[in-house]
Amino acid sequence: MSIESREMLINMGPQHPSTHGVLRIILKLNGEKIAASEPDVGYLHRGFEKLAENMLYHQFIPYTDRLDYIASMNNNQSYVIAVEKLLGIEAPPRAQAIRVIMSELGRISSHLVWLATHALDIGAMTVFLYCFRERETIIDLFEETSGNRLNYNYSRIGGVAFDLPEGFKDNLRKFLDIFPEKLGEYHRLLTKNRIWMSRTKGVGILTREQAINWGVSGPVLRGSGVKWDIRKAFPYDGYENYDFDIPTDDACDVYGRYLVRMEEMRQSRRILQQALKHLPDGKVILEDSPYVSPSKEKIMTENFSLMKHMVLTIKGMHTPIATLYSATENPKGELGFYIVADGSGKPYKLKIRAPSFINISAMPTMLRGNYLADVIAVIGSLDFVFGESDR
Amino acid sequence: MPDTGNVMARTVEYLRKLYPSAITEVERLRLGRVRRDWTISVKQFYAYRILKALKDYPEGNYDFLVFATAVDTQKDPRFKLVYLIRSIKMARQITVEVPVADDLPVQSVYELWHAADFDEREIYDMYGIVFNGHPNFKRILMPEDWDGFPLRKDYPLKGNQFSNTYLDRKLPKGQLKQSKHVRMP
Repeated sequence: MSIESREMLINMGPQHPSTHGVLRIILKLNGEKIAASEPDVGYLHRGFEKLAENMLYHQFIPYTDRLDYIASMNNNQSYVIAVEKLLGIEAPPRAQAIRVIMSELGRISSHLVWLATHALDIGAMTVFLYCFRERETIIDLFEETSGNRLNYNYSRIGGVAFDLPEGFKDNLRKFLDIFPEKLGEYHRLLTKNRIWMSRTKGVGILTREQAINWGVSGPVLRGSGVKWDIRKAFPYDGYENYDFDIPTDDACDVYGRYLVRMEEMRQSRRILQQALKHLPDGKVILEDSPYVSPSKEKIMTENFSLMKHMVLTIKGMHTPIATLYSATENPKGELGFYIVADGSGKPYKLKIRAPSFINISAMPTMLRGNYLADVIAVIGSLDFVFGESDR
Repeated sequence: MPDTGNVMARTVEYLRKLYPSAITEVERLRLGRVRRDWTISVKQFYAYRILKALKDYPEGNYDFLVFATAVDTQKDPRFKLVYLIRSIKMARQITVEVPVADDLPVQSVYELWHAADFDEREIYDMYGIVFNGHPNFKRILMPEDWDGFPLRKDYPLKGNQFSNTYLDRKLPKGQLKQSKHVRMP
């Protein structure tokens, strides 16, 4: 008897529970091994770039929440910094420090969601529950500050919307005190776990040269042994004043990326501690800038402030005629905004450099030669979000 | 931080020596305390060679393509391709702008940077610029049977994709019908 063998095409997604959204992958299988694959994105396309061309600069801030909805604070910060650079203004020191606190909390929360779902996909249910317990604390902190639990809309052009609430510092300090112990718990559950190691070690290899050539960023790039972090290379919001390390790993596999992200959470805690210690006093938003709306009290009492507020809300601000790219280090990678400003209140063009979009394009290279079951592990280690990828 | 200006000036000088007539414009952007970003405009004929020269730049190769995109300038030539290239070793980046016409295909840079894979497909998807030499060239974000290119400035903001009753045939392409019930002041 002869058994016929040939390559088989399999369609995975877009409703597969482990694709973290609406990713469809077309897999070409040779037995149980992947010969070729092609990711298909775009199911969540909402036309953000077209929307941005038709609205005022400040109106786009809530839309950035919907990019990477796991780490909305970071997206807000990234967009607002791009516009601030365009206008040539800088937020007050206290606002910058608050933004750093928020974005580092966002990084920890995003990495916790990544760890939870990554472990759940591979089969470790416990980790999921533990991670969401800690994430809840962070979300409570965000809720105290901004009033929302998921899409915060907290940063403003020239600062942040509100000052920190009373008791925030104590709550944050409490969280930072217990966090290393919790991180140790995750390490105990996974790092030396034999099943975890055999599922992740040597899987989804992306070498250093490939990583750079494919343009991947964030923990995926650092997991391939490239020491690159926007916070160090092009510092923003005063990151040059904080002392932290860039974790890298030379293993270039899923396990390496896991270790990098785990270490990043520890580094984020270090930054948070320093930010808490040196949190400056003062205003949280620029006051005399022509681009920033006055405070509510002033609008209600002063005629000129009311006029300024009306003009900014209806006509928008007159920006310099310039082209600019500004990027920040988000939990998923490098989120950048390329803005072409023509001097009117709306951007002439706004391109969002989404880290997930580029990271997904590198996936076929990682999958080639691996087993079908490893697709889930690789997807988990790339940690993408489709709000951002499809925009 | 080391002197940004000198490194970038040396890069541009190196390119000028290789292809004397390729670079038409060099712009240095400085806004507030922003780092100086250099932008060079390159003729389309030389674009691929200039990008290749940047990738092989001896002092520290620009080996990381941050993104590629296009801008609908509404002038002649209509589009402007934008490549932002970074050297990880030197922590420097340079923007290369290439004005391209509506109907001429462009050489793909996939062979230089695989990062251009999705970006070039997106440029085609949104602007309709065709790239030669791309291994898997088709739409990416929009459905494959979609009509038109959404990020062009004349693309209508409102309407039904399956019928053009929203559009006024007498007006230039893409304009919406004027509502009959608008009360003029």
